[in-house]
Amino acid sequence: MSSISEKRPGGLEAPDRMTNAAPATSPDVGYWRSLEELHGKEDPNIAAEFLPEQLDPMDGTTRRRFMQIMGASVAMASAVGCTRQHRYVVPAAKGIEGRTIGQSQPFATAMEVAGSAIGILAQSYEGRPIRLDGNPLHPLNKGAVNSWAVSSILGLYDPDRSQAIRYKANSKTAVVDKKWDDVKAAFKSLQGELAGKQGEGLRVLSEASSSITMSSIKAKLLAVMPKAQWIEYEPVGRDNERLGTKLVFGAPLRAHYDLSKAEVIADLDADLLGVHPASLQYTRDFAGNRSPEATVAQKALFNRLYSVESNLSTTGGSADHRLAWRSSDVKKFVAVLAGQVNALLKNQPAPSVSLGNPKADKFVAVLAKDLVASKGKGVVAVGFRQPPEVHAAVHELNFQLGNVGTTVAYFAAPEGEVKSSNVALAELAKDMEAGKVSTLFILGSNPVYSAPGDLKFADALAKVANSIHIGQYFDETAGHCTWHLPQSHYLEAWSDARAWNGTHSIVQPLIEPLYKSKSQSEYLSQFLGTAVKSYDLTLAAFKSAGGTDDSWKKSLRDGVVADSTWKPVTVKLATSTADNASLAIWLTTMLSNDTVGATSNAPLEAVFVPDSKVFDGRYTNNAWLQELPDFITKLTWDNAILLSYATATKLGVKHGQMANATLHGATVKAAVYIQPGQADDSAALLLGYGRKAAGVVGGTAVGRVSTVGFDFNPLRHSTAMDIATGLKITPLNEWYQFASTQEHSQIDTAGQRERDKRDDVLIRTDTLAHFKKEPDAVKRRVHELPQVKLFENPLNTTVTGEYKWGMAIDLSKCTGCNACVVACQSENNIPVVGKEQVIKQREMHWLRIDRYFNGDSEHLEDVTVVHQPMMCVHCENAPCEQVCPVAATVHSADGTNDMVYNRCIGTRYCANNCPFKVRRFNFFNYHKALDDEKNNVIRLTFNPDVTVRSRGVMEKCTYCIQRIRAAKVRVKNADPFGKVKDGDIITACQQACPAAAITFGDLNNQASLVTQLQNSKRGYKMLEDLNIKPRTAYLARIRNPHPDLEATTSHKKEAGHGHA
Amino acid sequence: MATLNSDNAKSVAPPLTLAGVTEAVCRIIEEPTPKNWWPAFGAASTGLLILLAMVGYLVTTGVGVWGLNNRIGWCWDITNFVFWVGIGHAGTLISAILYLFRQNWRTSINRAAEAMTIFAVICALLFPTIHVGRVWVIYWALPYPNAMSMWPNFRSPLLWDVFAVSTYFTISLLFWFMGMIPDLATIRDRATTPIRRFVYGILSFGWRGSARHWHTYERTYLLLAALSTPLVLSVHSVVSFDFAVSILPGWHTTIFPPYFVAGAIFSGFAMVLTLMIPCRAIFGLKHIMTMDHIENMCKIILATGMMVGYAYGIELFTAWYSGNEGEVFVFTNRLFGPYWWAYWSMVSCNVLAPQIFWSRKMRRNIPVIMVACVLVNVGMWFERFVIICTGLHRTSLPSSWGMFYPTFVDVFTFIGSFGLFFTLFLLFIRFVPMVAMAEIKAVEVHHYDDEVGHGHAAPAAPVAVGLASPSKE
Repeated sequence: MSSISEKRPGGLEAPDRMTNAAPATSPDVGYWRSLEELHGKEDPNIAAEFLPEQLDPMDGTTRRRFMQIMGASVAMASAVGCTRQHRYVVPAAKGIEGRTIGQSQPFATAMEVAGSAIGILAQSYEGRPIRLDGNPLHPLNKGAVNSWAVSSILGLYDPDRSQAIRYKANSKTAVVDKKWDDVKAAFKSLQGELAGKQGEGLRVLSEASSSITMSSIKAKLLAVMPKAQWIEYEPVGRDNERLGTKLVFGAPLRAHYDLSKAEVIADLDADLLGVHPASLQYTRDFAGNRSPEATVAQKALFNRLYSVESNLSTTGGSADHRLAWRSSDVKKFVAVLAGQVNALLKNQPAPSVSLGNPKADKFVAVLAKDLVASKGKGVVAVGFRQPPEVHAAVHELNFQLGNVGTTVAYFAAPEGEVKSSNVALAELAKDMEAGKVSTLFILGSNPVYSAPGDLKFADALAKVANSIHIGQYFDETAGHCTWHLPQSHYLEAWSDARAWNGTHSIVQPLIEPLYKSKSQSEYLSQFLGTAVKSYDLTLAAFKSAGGTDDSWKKSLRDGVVADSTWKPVTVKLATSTADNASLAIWLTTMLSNDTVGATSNAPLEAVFVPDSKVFDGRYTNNAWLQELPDFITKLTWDNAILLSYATATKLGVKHGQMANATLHGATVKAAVYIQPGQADDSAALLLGYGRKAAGVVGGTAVGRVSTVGFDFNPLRHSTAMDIATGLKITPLNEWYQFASTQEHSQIDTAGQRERDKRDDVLIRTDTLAHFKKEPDAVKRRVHELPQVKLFENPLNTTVTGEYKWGMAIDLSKCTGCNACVVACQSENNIPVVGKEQVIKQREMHWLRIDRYFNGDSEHLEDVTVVHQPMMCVHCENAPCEQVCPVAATVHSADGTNDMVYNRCIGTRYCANNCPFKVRRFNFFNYHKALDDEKNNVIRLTFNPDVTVRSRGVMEKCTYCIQRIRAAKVRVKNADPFGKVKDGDIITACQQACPAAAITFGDLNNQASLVTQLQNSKRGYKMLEDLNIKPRTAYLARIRNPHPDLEATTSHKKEAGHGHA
Repeated sequence: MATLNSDNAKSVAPPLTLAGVTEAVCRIIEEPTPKNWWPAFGAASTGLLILLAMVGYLVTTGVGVWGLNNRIGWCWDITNFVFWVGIGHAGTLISAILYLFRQNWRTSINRAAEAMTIFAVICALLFPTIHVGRVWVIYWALPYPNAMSMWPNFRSPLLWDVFAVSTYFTISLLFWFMGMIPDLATIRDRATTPIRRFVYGILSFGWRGSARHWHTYERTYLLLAALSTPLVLSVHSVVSFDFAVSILPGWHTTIFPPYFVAGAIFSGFAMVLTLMIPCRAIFGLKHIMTMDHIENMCKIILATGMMVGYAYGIELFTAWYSGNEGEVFVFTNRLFGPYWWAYWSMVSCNVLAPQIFWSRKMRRNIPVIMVACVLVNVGMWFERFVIICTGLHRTSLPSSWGMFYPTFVDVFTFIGSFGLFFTLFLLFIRFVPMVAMAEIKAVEVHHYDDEVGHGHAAPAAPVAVGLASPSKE
């Protein structure tokens, strides 16, 4: 380049110079123009031949003429341009008023699970929903979500969803695809036939529904066909609670707790923070009163949670005191508790009834004392699996303690006085078997899989002439029905739903049905001969309930129907009913023996526990949920028989061993998982697995995909749905490999000892009482290393960005519910890797929840649990950064530790050097399955703001960098000098968290919440001694044990004792 | 093996002659391929094919075909890398350091040892290359000018590795080839077919054996020896930085550079013996690679084995003395954790096995030496495995503790790397003078009056005296 540019200007002069060169040697001649001139003479030839007039025409023409010619040329050239007409090209970009292309827009909707809704805010990007967040305006979940709601987006785009109408004349013929017209014709003839018989022989088996659209259709159907029966069935039913209120208050009611006012919470096998339909509210309220700083500073309430349960639940893991107690013995516990509370209330001596276990006796005594001490500010809750009498006793207990009206509210049960779903289902099965059912509609339910084994539902179904299955999947039930009609996802059709507290929401669709599906309401209205769209049905039902066009619009926008939350009803003890008398008799009977406790040779009980991930099996085909580590077992892609260590030893069965579980004459072969915290002589059988026709994720009996986990439904009995005694476990000489994300292998003693030692430092806990005395004890848990400075650490000054993003995670609040893990997966396009890869310890979750047990090996049932959400802590002095050979992981100006996927060559050195092991490597192309045309639809879940990583690159938590950037752009657009304010950026995990345990913000801003939390006395950073300067701080877990119980449930010393 | 035993009987080698050396060495190349070469080559090249298949599978499928996971990001891959780099060290030590120290006995083995170095480094380079997730962009680790103005991260020990090992490979290759030129010329001159003459003619760079050639050769040889010498220390030191510079307890150790170098020499000598003992028996070179040479190497193995043993001991002491709980645990875990068998295999093979060389009788007992050397090689592989795997499998957070389970691809890639190594080595002994004839003649042959008449080989000797009496230099 340089040589050319030098020549260019010189080139013009070159001839002159060239000609000058030689003669210039004569010093006596000045400047000259030609050789003739040089030689001092005129060229005669020039003079003769070229007269000035005859020279080039341009020559003589002077500047003026030249300009004329030039002007003419330019004019000519311009004239060519003038002939062109102006035609405007229009870019293809289209704008929609009020919307910015590339930005997602939220729409409020709701998701119903087992007859209870939570409010959803669905983010729609270019016409497709990409992410589901909680609706902040919904009073139940207030913006938080659970893992089911977040992952239902994957359910929408599930390629395994049923995509065609199928028909099978009888069990011997093949399944054929049918057209919608065929269905219409079949419906018409059926309807005519049934209407003539007033609906005799017609049964509708529906999943639990709180929708007024569905109830209006039900009313219409029953009006036309009064002899028809409409049955609601849930595999995990909550009928006993309602039956209990009937016993004690004389009316079917629904209990709802206000944990925000509760000082003492007794959770008796209820799992309020886990599978309860209102768990999001309960978690928020529970965690809201777990801020020791507020307790110290403002005398704010700090609750105390007692838990009595067989299987370690989310609630049990968060409890201050937990009693591992057989579920079938909870009734005894309740009876003794009721007796003691009554005695205390009446200032009488406590009845000398023992639970047969000094630990339990002390537990119940302290609980009774504590409940009485906080009269009106306590909650006693009992679980759905407990019999109605126990519910009744607990309702009465709450009433006596004055909790009703303050912390316990009752609503009129929306379902009214209906039979328990297991009773109704058993009757249905009997009728089907007896040939009394000619037509059966199955709405969304999957009874062939989920019905208790004694009903032999599949056999009964074969006797029904017309069985019509409406469901999202061609599942086990669909395979046994004559008709299968594909059902729309809740994001595809209009409906409505009520939350546990009655809050009414319109289920607003976000997208047209992806496949040729319709909603349950549309199918049924077609059946009733009035083909109406789900929108009209929903709107009509809404208006019939008093809604207007205006309130419809507002309800759609807000996601909740204004003032629809139920008002509590006043209750009084129905002292005179016969039912109530039987309760009294029951209580007296329970207490009449001196010892009501379990004896050591008690028959093994089976407790059927809904899985925290796939629930009753309805989410089995959801890969996010399948790969989600269970909050306590950390199992993925599996369920198991959970046994306590002592029971397993007694039965001669080991962890991972296969065993035959026999109950009610049925036998299921399944693997045993030894679970600390599990009550002795109690086996928790996790429901929801072993599906035979779930899909490529959840397993199919035929084809390449084996079933996932074990199906325990055959062991259930319609009279003992949730608890049964007499389970037999026969060990088999077979072994099973679990895909657990923690404890991938059995641990040796040396490792165990070290782990126990480290847990104290990594997971810092303290009691509230001790925290009040020595608030900074948790900080002193580690020996401060003397900071000897040889030189000023340059890292102390290099990170000086405008912002300093950081995070605080409050372990006092975290219940380990897993919502954040799935939210992160949804937000950040994290792949699912499958069981085989999880076994190889290659799970990809950016955010994992480390679960630590605390307790000694002698009392494995008495462990306490701490959950620690763990993701990249964005070290300022990041060890990963300095070892990357290609600088693919670097610091941003804001101090976040960023991954440059494009630059990464995949040496994995960063992951090796990361002390937190939060980096995740793409060992394969985990998105490869999506290249398959069939699976292409899953790509629609991808967040367009986040790169989809390919194989061979490292990835990890980015602090949701896309949200940080978006917020900065938003702020700068609004005000070029504006600053991102506290709360402008909410990370995906933070947004999902129902406990508000995660806080994100700017550490440069001293007023920001995250700075305050990080600076609190409880704040500590992990592995500080490595001088890595993490940006994420943890807040120590403060427990609130009752002083009288402290010694029995805590086997390890609390903070400060060692080093104070 | 029984035939090898005959060595014990005659400890004194027959006197070497110039012609005898030339004949003994060149014969191997010129005679028809020995029958037992083919099965060996067949086995080795099968190994190579397995390696190619494994690498092909790895590159097309993903690093996940190995048993690595998110806790243990390196295991067999980097173990094999360090193992092979270590093997290479003996060659450089023999050819460079022993040369500078005027250990004349080295001449009988230096060529083969250098070849071993080069092949081992090729095997070594293979592993870091294929262990990355995206091998097609591995050149990003090189500092080359590019449109993005993007440089590699000079703080990363992996980058230092790239420089260290590639420099090492280049220098070793130059040193080896340069040293071979006179010998290649000898083969050229003895060539009977035009192809041989042509090929060896090209390879011998027009060597005529003139005094000026010899002068230049000697100078260059000395220079390259001097260049290689620091590399012996630096390469494995830099390799050890991969671990020492990290912050992992068990990796973050200042003792690593000398410890790694000692271990490298240790394993390298064991490998030289493992290779040389069969070679000298098969190709009739017992009079050139004598028992004395073997005994010398055994002494070095004993010495370096003791150094390695000392390092093991001092590591434990340092961990205990530091009072750092993480450090203490890593070593407790190594000794008694789930990988105890690897640790104790390492100690038995590396510390206990060489102790047999305290006995002179054992140092001259070929079967014993072979067993000990194989054990040392096994032990040194375990050493790297122990460092890498137990350093990673239980790090700071107990929630992320895990285990490593190799897959068949791990195993066969490692086996295949031996295939690559032996394929190259067998080709080497078939086509290239396995013993440095010129150097042998210079330092070992004292029968100058022997009339040989082989054009260029003979004049080499007097000039090469410079080697024998280097004090003039």
